[in-house]
Amino acid sequence: MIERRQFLKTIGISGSAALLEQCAPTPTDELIPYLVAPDNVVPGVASYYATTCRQCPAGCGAIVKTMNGRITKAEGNPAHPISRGRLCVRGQAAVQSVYNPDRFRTPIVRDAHGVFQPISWADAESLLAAKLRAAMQGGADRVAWIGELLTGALDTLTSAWLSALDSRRRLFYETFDYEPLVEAGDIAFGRREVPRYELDRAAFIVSFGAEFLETWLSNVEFTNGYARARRQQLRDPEGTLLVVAPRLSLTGLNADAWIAPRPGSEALVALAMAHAIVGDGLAHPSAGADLRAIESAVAPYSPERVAGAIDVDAATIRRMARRFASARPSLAIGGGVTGSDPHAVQLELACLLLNVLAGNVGESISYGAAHAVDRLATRREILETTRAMASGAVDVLLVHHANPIFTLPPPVGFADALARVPFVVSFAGAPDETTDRAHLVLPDHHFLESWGDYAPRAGVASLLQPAAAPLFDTRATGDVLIEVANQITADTARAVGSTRWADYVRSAWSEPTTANDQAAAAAGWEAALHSGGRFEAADAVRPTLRDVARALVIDPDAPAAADTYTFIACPSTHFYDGRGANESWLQEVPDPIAKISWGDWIEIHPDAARRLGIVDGDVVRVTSSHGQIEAAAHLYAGMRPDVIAMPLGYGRSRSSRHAGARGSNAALLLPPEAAGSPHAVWRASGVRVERAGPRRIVIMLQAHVASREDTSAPLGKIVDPARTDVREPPEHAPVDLFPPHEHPAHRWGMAIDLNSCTGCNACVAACYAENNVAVVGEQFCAQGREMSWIRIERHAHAIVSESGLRRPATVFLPMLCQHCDEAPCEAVCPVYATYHNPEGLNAQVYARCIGTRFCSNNCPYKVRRFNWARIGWDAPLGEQLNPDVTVRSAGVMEKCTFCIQRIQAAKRTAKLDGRSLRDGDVVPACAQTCPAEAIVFGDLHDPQSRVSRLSADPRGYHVLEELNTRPAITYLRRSVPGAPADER
Amino acid sequence: MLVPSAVAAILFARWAFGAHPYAPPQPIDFSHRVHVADDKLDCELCHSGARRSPVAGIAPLERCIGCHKYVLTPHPEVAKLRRMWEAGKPIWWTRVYTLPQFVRFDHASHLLAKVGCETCHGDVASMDRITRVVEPTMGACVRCHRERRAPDDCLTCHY
Repeated sequence: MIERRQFLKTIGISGSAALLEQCAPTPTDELIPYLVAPDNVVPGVASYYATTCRQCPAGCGAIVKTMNGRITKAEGNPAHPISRGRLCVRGQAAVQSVYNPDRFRTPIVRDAHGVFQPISWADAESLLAAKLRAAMQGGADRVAWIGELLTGALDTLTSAWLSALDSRRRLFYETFDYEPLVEAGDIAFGRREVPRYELDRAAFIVSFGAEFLETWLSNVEFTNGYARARRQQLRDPEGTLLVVAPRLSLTGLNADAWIAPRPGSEALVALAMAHAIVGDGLAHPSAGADLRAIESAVAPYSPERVAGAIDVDAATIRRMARRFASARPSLAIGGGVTGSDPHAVQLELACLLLNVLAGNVGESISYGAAHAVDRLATRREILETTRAMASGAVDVLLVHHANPIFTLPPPVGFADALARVPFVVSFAGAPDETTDRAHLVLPDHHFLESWGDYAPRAGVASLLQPAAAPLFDTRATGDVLIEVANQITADTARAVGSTRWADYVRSAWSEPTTANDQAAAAAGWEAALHSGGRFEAADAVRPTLRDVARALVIDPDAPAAADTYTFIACPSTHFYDGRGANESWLQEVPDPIAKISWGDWIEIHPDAARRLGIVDGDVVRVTSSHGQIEAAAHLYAGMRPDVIAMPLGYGRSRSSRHAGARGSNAALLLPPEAAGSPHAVWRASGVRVERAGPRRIVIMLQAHVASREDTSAPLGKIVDPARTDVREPPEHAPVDLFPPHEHPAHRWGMAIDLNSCTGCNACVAACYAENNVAVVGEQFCAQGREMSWIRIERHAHAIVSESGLRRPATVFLPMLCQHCDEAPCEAVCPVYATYHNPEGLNAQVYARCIGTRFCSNNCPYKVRRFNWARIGWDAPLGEQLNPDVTVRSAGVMEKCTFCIQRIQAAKRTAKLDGRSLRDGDVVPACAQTCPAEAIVFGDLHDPQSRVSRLSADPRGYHVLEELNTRPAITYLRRSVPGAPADER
Repeated sequence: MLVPSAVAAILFARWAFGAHPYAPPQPIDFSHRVHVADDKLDCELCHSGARRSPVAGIAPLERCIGCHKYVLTPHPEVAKLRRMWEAGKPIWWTRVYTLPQFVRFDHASHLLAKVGCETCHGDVASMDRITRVVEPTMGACVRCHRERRAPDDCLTCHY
């Protein structure tokens, strides 16, 4: 007889004892080899394809990594002159957009009830052919094409195609165009084109609002060039960037000096600077011939005379003019997208004059680059086509990777005009506001699945090749056009030919003239595929200045009405013009300036907010003469109090799961064109603001931007340029309680140069892509449970401003696991899931972690992220996951691993090559993509490695050094003119 | 009372599971003994990834057909193979040596270190049907790593 309790104990122990022995493995895996193995594909090893990013017109070359036929990561192509081996935040998010669940899976057509139904390609193409045939029979120009900027093969094809249909209506429409700049080039030099800017050659840049570090023209290339120049100019007492704008964009926040003129008077600032240069005899000798002409053109605009209109004192203008003229070479960049209104053309013209005066033309700015964006449709051409559509002159409209319903302000009337077109076709790959109104959708492949080419400027012929087979039943637009043309008439068939699109591209790229050249042509094609295109140096042109006096007459603006504001609709660093709003990474990663996720906001200056009785988060209503919107207020000191601003990309259609019904569209407030000139404008003046409701929850992942007023000094440190070679002694001598760690082989470390980091978030998106970081969504973000392993903190230092000249003094600090030598987290893990590995990494073993979260509690940097729930990936987003990185489940802690998978892969490659690891073999995802080259990784045990040399730099420091954590990451102080000497 | 029960349970488990090593039936009754011991084919002819990849891989069907288009065609298993090739169906082999998902094993490093395939996979050349004769336990891995001075740092395999 045994007692019940004893019985249960016995059974329990015996049962578990049985389980202690090895159980029979339950087979859950199958091994499925290929039927026929593709060439050069080794299972378990990635394949790489060179292609071109088409997220914006910059045309960055990319190398796309694929595993098992799935696209997992995109990197910049090191051989490419535009991207130089780097990609921006939008380029990194491209791999997510391939697997976006909202993508169209088949062609669709509207049925009699107006509902989209799937249709076969054969039926869709014959339907389109029939409509086009009917349109052709109605006369000329009855078919219209509005699409993204094209060059090369697709440009040639669509041109031939439309001519065969007897139509000249083809618009290359980009949301952000360069009309004022092109116009100014025409006036100044007789060259109707966008100039080539070479920022790495500029010792000092004056930007009148151009957002060249985020979205304008070619932000990866410009960030890279700017950072390079900035590294050369560390000790310059005036810094390297002056921004003259009523609002600081991300580019503006990076500036060393900021002049905030009255909105609309930016051109006067430029002219006043030109006047000062001429008047004070500071002009470059090369400007000699033009000096007299320029002098008379800028004569009315002395700094003293315009001081009142621009709200900036003359002494500041003269000082900046002196700095600009003395830097050799310097560079004046104009207004960018949000530019100036009115007088946008005059602003660009004045900037060109400044460049002439400083001798920059032919140095940091030149002509003859034949940018693709020179061929963009003007707002006038868009309005004309809109009118034609509205009048019923267009029977078939084809929309190709453009979304004018959303991006054109409503007063343009595009939506109504579209409604008058009987048959609207879209080639979009995913739903948008224009496909919501289309009759037929023929989804194009994603650009990462496409053949094609794109030449952003002369000398850069960039190729697109598929990195993976098309995921869905989509078809290359080129193939659709060819097929449809072959169905309409014999003439259209003849005009277009009948090759497949892939062959069409290939033959455009390899044109042998004789039989002997066939081999060379084939070799040329293979070489182009391998390197991502053909790149050669292009000739620069140094044009001569014309008489510009007449164009520079600026009538004084009427003063703004009391209690009104100027509203600026800004391009979004993440969404661009809104196109990226449906990518969850771009929604979750906080905006670089406002640090807000998953929602929109309206920026209001704290003084204005006080006057209006608004606190941060209150709902405000903004009314212009064209529309009205409401959004939560976000107080931002980086602008004039009479300015309010809002990013574009919110208020999108419900057909997108993440972007839909989220926030308000800033474009609703905008006028159809600039006052007095026929180009696009992204500002509205005379706007009224009022409080409309109580606070909304705004998901801010960094609520406080530290300033001197706080008791704690900002973590992102600054140093005066004159002291960049002085090492600050540490506050305390280091103390060791334990014997130091031994690192027998390598010791991995990182150096982050805060002087280069622009805060663009490219590294954050790259980390999401590389490390299978989960997107947690709004609710968890609001609770502070976002999973990003690296975050960019924005730290502002309040520097007492000299009269008229402010210093943004902002430091963007990438914060990630510091891999501390004396890690507070390692000491408190009860199960040894985190420990210090012999190579200096703070290791996190997911399988051991039991989720006590003591480590995160102890981490002073708060870089440890806990999986509060099992986050899934909506199909097919899971295809993008990197198989080299464990996908974490609920209950485990995760954090930056210094891309341990890349360290292991580099070791394997080195072993297979029979050599030891070299500096540069291991590049974590963040370091690889940073356009500013701010992050450097390597072996601290190698005295010749870049990271060792940078870690020894006098500007180097450790964040929270006083806690004695001994991080493996050394930050280099940002050089900021005016930084106080005792800044710690 | 407790200890004898535990001992009995352990002995029972060892008998139940130890005596019959895992040798699942495969879609095609491929014999390593014939191909390796008799025909002297190298492991890497079919498991070609072993030298350059974390994954050793299994020969694509194309490789099998390379010989078996002509060799031993009357054999029922070869006929099965050819039918699958004609139908364009890849073979779904049942996995015998499996590691849990939280373990990352790199074949290439081990081949470079001259670890023979038999060390972890047993005497495959003698097996008609692949049998799991060596249990890939963490203890076995760590023991060998320590003996041969390979890294026994957790991050080597768990990341």
